[in-house]
Amino acid sequence: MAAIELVGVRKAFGTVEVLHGVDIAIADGEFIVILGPSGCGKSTLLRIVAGLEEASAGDVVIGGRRVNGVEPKDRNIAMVFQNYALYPHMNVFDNMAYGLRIRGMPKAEIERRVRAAAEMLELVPFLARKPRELSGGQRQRVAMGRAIVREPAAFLFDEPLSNLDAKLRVQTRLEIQKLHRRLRTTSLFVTHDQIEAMTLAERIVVMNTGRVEQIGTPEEVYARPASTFVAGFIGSPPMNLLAATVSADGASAQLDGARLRLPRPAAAFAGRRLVLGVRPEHLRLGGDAFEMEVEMVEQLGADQLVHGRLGAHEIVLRTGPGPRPAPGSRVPVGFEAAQLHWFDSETTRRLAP
Amino acid sequence: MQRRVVFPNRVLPYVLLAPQLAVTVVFFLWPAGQAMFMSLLQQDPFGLRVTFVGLANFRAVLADPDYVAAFWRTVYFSLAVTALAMVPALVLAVMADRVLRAAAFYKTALIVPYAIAPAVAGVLWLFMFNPAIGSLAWVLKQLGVAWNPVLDGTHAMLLVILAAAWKQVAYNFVFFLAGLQAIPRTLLEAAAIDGAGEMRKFWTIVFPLLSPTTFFLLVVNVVYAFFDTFGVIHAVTGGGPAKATEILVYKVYYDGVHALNLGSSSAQSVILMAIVIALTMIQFRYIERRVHY
Repeated sequence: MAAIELVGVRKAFGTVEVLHGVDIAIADGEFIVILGPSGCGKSTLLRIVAGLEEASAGDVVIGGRRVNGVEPKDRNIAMVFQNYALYPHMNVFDNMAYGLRIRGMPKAEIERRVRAAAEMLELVPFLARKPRELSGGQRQRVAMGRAIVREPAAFLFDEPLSNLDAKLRVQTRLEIQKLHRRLRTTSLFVTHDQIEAMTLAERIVVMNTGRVEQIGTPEEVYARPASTFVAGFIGSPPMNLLAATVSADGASAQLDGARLRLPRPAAAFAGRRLVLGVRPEHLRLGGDAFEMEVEMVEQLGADQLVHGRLGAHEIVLRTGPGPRPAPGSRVPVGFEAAQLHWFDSETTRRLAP
Repeated sequence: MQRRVVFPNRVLPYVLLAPQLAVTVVFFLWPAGQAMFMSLLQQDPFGLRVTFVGLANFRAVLADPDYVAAFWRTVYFSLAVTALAMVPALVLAVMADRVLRAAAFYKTALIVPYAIAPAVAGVLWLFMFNPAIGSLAWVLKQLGVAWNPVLDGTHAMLLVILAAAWKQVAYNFVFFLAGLQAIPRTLLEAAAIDGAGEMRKFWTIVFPLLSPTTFFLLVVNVVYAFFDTFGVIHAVTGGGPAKATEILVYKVYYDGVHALNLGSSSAQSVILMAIVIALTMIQFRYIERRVHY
């Protein structure tokens, strides 16, 4: 096991720079999820840690050792690929034993480790099967088994759940969590799925266009998003973000075609142009912040999502079961002052609280 | 999912198939049938009378020490050609697969020999190794090798093997390259992370995954060496010296066209046909089973 540190990691393919200086410090035994939309550079970052790509600049430090230029095999890491990358001509046992045999481990020890991993992952009945005779979930577990038996310094996961169906994904998510509690191996998990990130991570690294937007616990990332990007990316449906100008007395905000009464006057921002954010689940029917014109209601059973307009802005509100607001009607909406997020309209960074 | 095309017109499918069927009938079924028929006959030297002799031609051919010698010569020749055509092709394909710069150029350059006619390829090698004017023959002589394929049967055999294999390398290269490119990159990356070096990656991952391609090429190359090397041999040695390079397909031609022993020649071609059918069936069996990895 080991800590991993990325210092000013940059990557350019030809003239296109896809990573613009990434700094992350991962503690020994920590479970880190790198979250971002496709094309944000998260997979490239993982491949740089693995040694499959070389960083154009910056350092990768694993267990206190700078590993720039070190071959993947000498980095003592294991990786689980999105398509599992199982060796199709080897059975499950051989797939898991491959890395151990190469390292010249004694037969008895290989046998012991593979057995132990197979038991942990409930793969014992399948040890003699070829990958093509396994289901998607079983293949996924073999891929994890292959990583586990190596007892590496760190696990790298490259979207390992995205090829599974929804039900299996939830199950496997829980299994990975259990596994990590048991092994406490430093883990780096790349995904574009915010639910995976929220449920698995001890800390989330949110990435966008080759930059780190925020590093924080799932609670922090949700409660105090560092930028409008994080605010819009985490949470489903995403946070309502409204470009606004605060009035001179700080009591209200002028939106595009509407006015919003602030629950608590914000004298500090009086007269400033900025972006307000409120999550759909923090808006409530009733109150005096603004009136929303209802366009459509989505019934989810436990909740309903009310879609509507406030001036030129689209607003989503999440509310519990109850009377369904009629489309076309105008409903009063309120929220707590503490649930309001402020972002700079130029830098998109968080201003307060 | 069923992907069968259903024609509304009952005649159209037959019309569409007709050209291919005509080619098969005229160039294969008819001559093959004729050969089978003639293999049971014996003709007099002037072609005036034919006698039905049953399987006598086959008995004579199989008992002929010249024929048996030609058979083993063919086995030797085709194994040598296959090995010499496949191993360099695999090496070249592995290297071309790694080239990043000007990859298209290397690939095209390596495919070109396939487009050269067998006789032209043969003449090319004939010139290079001609004991009187050949540039490479001169080099060999400077190195102290008494090179003379015109007189020395072993040298002649080496020369036709080289010429026949060289042409086939390009063909094998294309298939090996396609096979290599079909191996998912992540498999090799997984092996790299598991600790495999380049050689071990090749022997434990790449080579086993290429085995369907390798098997396919093995059969194709043996068939090629057995039957399609006529042009090369005809151009380079004409079967000589002293029949040292006379393989079965060349013997069919020589006995029929030059020696005018039509019955024997027909019997030989029927035997050859049986061999090619057997080889093809092995291949079909294998491909049908689709044992990929």
